[in-house]
Amino acid sequence: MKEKDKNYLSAVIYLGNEKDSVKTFLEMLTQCLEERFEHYELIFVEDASQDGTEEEVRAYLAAMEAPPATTIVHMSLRQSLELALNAGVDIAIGDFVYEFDSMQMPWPPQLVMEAYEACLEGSDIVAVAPKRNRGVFSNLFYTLFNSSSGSKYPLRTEAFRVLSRRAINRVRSVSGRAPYRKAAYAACGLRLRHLEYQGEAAGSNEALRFSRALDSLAMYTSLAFKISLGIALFMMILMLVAVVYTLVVFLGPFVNPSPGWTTTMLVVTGGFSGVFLILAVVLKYLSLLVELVFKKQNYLVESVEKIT
Amino acid sequence: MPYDKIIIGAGLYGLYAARFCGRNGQRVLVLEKEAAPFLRATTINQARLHMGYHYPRSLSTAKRSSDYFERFVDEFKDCVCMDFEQVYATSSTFSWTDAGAFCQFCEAAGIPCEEMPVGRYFRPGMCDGAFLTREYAYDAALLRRKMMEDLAALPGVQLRFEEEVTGIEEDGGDYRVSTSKGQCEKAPFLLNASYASVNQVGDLLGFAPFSVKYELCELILCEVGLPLRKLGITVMDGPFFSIMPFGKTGLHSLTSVTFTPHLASHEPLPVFPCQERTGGVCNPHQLANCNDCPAKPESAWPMMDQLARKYLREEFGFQYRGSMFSMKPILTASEVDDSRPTLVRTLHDRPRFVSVLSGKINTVYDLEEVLL
Repeated sequence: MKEKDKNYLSAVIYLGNEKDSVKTFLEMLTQCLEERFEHYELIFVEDASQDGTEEEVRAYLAAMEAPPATTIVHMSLRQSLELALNAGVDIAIGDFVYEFDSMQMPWPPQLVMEAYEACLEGSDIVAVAPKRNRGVFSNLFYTLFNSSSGSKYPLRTEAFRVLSRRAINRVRSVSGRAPYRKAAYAACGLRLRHLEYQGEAAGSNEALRFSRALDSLAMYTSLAFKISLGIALFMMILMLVAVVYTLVVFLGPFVNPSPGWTTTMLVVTGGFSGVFLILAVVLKYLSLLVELVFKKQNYLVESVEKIT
Repeated sequence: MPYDKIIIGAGLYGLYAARFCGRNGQRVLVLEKEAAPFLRATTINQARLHMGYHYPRSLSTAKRSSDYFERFVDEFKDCVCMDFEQVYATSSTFSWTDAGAFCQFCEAAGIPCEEMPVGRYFRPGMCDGAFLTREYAYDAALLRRKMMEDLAALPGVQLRFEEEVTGIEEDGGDYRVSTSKGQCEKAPFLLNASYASVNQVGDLLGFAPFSVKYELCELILCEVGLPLRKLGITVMDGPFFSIMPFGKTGLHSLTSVTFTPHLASHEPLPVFPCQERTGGVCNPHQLANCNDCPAKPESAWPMMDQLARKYLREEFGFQYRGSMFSMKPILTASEVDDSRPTLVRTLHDRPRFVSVLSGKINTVYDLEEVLL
């Protein structure tokens, strides 16, 4: 028999309304981990599941001959996938931590161990992902996100991932909180690897996807900043054009406009170009502030290599 | 032979009561199930002399502990390990308290607390505050020696070991206690200082049990590297851990809120699945010693080790030396505020029956008022 791995392993599992998946999932997971590791723990994050998923989990563990160390974290009120998994990862004590967003398994079981192997081979974050993203909305979001995040690891729909302790520490020291974990992992500067499987993505457990998507775009990409700055500058230029137009009408050989038109136009257009200029400056400052507050470390190092 | 008092249990509370009464010229008999004193919870625990830091959610418990702290340290200074720094820290996540609240609490309780750089002990981001405090550890072996020496000088005090209480009956103004050795003793005052067996002894007379939850706990002993040698570290207040000198033994104890308790029983009398594997020696009416039980659980060292290393910086190394197991009754009323009052309950008057239940060593002085 192969000697078991000495690394301590934690598996953090989100408990949504997935009663029907509990048995197959836990059977597969405990078998995989039991075979490979001397010690491991399971951490369930119960986020207001209503269909008795938690009871199902308890019943399954109670029926096990030698159940592993297990913790259930009960969230006070529904907090959604992101915060719930953050809590689970915070309480995990493992050297390596699995994050399961869902207990549905559209992926083949051997990927659990393959992901761990990939982690040992030097990728601090290994994510298992379907070949195709979840749907139209996801596709659009990831395209937008990836086009403006500047990260070398494009985001995509994922099923589960393995993190090294180093990756967890890094994410914590970079941003303290991770409002969108996937993006935080991709942006933490350590090596990330995707393992692909043929097949569909699992149904999403996440509520509030749209607002989370907007928050993430604002925080991890320069997209929102670029758009708003673009609009401000565009409006400013439009107003300057109007100033020129007013002057041309006033000085030019055209029919004189009604009295007062020129003054009014100059005040309005001049004033507004000033407002948009200030807006552009404010936007720049705001983006700097976000950057400073949100990114505590100012540079990220993947590794240091001494060559001679 | 008539006694003034019979005391059940030769832990610190039992022996302290015996000494107190013996010094007042009373005739006292101590009955102990084990072959020697201090073989269970008095020895098998963190050995912490509580100053109150542990109870940031219960000012009353904190104050009571700190009041008795000085007195205990004065009286038993040779049995107390004082030459180490005790650091308390508040975890950044999952803690019921934080650095600011902890500081405020120490001030209110009037106990010293000096802020330390968190990064000196902990990995980045793990704790939001670290404080140098004043707290000591007692050495159970030395304490036992001192108590036994003191008791040897008191002719009125008699200790009998390997003698279990099997029945108690009221007999006029006395209690008649029958023991496993077929003896029968009488006294008008019975002190039940049997800690984990407190409800079992009370049950012999049909008294209402203390509302407790029983936990089978593991204390891990470690050998530590130089950086930890003169240092104790406790991470508060929730599912964390503590590593601190184990008296003057040179070893450190390692305990954690999550992994120290192995099994729990919520019945009035302790019912555990492992009792079936003891061949009847241990049952809901008689608890055997968990520490030398063949059915004791597997050590939780891998988890505790992992948990402590998750928090502590690399240089604070420690290695496993061994585990000790004991049964602890935890008052169920205390889960929310985490208070640990010492309960001294007079359950019957004339003849008098008093039960004491406390989770702390230095509040032993609470006993005096009922013994007078």
